[in-house]
Amino acid sequence: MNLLNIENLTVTFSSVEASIKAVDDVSFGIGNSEVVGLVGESGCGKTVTALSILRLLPCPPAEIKAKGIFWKGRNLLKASIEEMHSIRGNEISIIFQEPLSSFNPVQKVGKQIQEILEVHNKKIENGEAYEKVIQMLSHVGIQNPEWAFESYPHELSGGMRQRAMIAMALMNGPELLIADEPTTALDVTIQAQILDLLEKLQKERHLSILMITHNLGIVARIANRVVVMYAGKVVEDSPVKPLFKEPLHPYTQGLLKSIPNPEKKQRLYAIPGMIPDPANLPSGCTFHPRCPYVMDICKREFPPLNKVDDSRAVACWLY
Amino acid sequence: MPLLEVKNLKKYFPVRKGFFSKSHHWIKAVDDISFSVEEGETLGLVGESGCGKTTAGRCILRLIEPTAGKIFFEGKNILDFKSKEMRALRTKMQIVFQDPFASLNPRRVVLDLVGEGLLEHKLVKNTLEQKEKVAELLKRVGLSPDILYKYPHEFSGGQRQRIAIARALSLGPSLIVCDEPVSALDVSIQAQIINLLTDLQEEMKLAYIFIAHDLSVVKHISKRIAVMYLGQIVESAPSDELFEFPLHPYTKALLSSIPVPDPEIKKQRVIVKGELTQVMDREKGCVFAPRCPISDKECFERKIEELYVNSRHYVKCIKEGGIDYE
Amino acid sequence: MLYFLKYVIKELELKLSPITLKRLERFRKNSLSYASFLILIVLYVVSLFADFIANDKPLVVFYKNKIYFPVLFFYPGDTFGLGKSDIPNYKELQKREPFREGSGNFMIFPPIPYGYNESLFFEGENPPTPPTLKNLLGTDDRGRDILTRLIYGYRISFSFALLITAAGMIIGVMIGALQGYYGGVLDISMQRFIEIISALPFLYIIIIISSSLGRSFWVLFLLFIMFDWIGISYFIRSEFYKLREMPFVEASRALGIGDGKIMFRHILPNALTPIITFLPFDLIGAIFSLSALDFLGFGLPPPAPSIGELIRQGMNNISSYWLSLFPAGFLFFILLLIAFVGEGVRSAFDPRDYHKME
Repeated sequence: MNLLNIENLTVTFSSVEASIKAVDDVSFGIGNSEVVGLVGESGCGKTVTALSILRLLPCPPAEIKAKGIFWKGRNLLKASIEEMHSIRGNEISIIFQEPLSSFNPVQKVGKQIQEILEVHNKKIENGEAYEKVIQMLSHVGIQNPEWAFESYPHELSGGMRQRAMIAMALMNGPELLIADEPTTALDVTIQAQILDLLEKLQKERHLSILMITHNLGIVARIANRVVVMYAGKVVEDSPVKPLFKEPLHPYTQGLLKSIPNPEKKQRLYAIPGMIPDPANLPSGCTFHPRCPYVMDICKREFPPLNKVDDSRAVACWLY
Repeated sequence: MPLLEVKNLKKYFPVRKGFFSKSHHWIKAVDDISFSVEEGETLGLVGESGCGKTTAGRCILRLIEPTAGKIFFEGKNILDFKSKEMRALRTKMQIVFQDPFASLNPRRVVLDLVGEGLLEHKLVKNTLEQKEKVAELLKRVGLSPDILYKYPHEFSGGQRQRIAIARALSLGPSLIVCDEPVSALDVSIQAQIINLLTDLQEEMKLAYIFIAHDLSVVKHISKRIAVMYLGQIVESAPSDELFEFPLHPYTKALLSSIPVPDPEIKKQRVIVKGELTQVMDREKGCVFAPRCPISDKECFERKIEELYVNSRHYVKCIKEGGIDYE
Repeated sequence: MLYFLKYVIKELELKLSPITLKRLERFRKNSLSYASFLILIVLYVVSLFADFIANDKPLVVFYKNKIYFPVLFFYPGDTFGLGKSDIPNYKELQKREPFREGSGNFMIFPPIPYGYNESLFFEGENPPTPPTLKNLLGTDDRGRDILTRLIYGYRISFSFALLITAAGMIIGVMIGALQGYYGGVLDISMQRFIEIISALPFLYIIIIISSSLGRSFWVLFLLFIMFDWIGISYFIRSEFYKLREMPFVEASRALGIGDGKIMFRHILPNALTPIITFLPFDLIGAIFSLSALDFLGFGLPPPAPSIGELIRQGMNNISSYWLSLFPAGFLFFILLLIAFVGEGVRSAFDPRDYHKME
């Protein structure tokens, strides 16, 4: 059974002007010790999906409707606030893209991490908590953990802050880590270091990771399975190797083709057209205006997510 | 004669300690770099954040005043130009910025944004001509002329970048500094914009200085690539050669860090230690030595010179070659 | 100068950007602020027509088959059968022979038939007199109708305050812009200068200078402006510091646009928020300071009607409650309305929406 199962999640944002479906009937699951890459470009709804798991969206203006978000069998959408508090930071953790804004700038880093530990382990003593934090900081690759503990967030470099955030997320030994574009703001060499770190931690702790990114290279490196989203819907769900070898959905194919490959020098393939405005989505299959294989039915109806074989599913009328 | 020739460009920022103390400490954002760009060609300037590439780009346009060095454009040193000559120069050199959201004034319509320079330099006689010219420019970059009276927030990132490119083209420059023009865009849009830039280059014989941190993007558009680290050019070569025969350990590390969209390939990685930190007053030794996997005592002591491997490829390393992959 | 004006007009014709429209919408939705705003506008416009509402001169005089408008024009005495150099007192005139019932001559007085400087005398009573049907708010210590004085006084104080605020804003914006845009030595020296001026006690200086130079409109005006511009300059300075780093400003510099045009065309429109949010509070300060000066006796020269002066009379005649209650109450009411408007503007321009998270 899957550790996390999202079933028919729809998130609508309403404002005075319009009602926007940021996420439309999204379903997928994350298994034990599995790294799932949630891939898509800006506006596709991947961050909103992740935030809904932990119910971190302000409601209003957001409105979450779903069959359920099942964590170890329990429906998180029906959980009480206390239950959610005990899950966040404890069983499910999240790290964000901008570590600078995730830390309180006027508090020392160490204290903030220690707080996470203390909130979920009320009986722990100060000395013991300190030791645990130092241990974790060192484990995530920070050379001088004592110094880092006493520092303020702006005194740390980007890579170190991200490591500190990972430390904070893993303090209580969660089973699922949601990583929302954790390396986008970092330099390439630091990105590689952080990915190494995540890989290492994942193997050691049998951690499941939901890795949200728009970079297919990262996904290729670290993910076991890939879920591709476009304009709020899941368009493909597949284990990683078959996805890259034989992408099924035309959008996935287009994405792979448009990545500049240093090996080949030729005119880049560009998916024609633009990402649709969420307030003004095309009819039927939202990708149809840009699809090279568009058919009549594509303009009328959105294709359901169909299983192609045991492990893969696609939402496309071609299949 | 190359269109642009930069010689020994330096930009140092003083580190002040107090209001009255004279600075003896400098952050060497750009530390003695030299390169040239031919007409109609692209030079890729690559490096991670803090390496000085953005500062160098701004210095070339004199949006920031360099501390030292010479910048020859069409044979004349533009650092000697007075304001009148600088104004004329503006029509020849332009810039496209990284952030398409911040580079367009949210309170101005497209017509003003793109057409501002035209009226300023009297390239059009009146607002009617201005409208025509702007419509023409918009068509050139793939946008419809209907958008003249729309505001920036009505457009997507890719469209805004096109508007910014139209603005850069408005004065008819021969050189455009592209400061990470696609880093803030989605992958599918990046390809569109890069194709647009390449097409424009062919059509209008534009020279580009393409600043980026993503080597794969740079390769597609550049003829030559210069890799920067902490204010210095550590390697410079024609782009094919850089990818096939990288010499500097940092270049090798960069190349190996790019995540390849293919799960089959397990890349051989060059492990770079630690992180980039600004060092003040570094006088001798290699900039990269603290993080280099093959550095030794000599690397910290000696003055590192450019080593020419062939007429077009040089590297600033005394140990080029022979790295241990992990 | 002409060039500058041409600029202002062209740039303001900057059709209201969607950002501005959205903010106006939000302001309109806030009923308290919107209503206050409307009331203030209506009251002010009405007060501009004070002459037609409360005056001891009639609006229209029909005399010997000719129409006269004493409220607008001055007529010498012989127009109405008095001596040539007499100034017609229309009320007296009305009681006399030519204007009695049935003669075909008549006068139409404004709804409140008192001038702001007209002393009224009542049989057996000494001024100040309490509110009656004829004098809705009573009279002051010289027998002048309070309602009339309030209307005229409001007109003067509000107009004066608007003038001061506008002039102060313009100067403050210009100086703040220069400071923020150029920074460096200009900024630092200007800051020190501002700090020195801020340390000067405003009220005392005005009192001292008024008492030596005499009380006049212009003296007061100049002194107020000398202090008023400082407040807004702080905000504008920081906005300009922030905005000059923006890529779109750099882009304009790369296009070769000059500094002045960049400041006015690019940065200023984006720095309007502090100006608009500051304005109502600046206005409140100006009105209040003016009233305070009038109260102390150093404000506008007599017989200019002013709220502060009425309050002073109230203090001197404490048993005549109407002298304190109505002017002070009116002042309070006006300032409260402006404060509501200010609050509404501030929250309409506030970019953040706070939501409850669970």
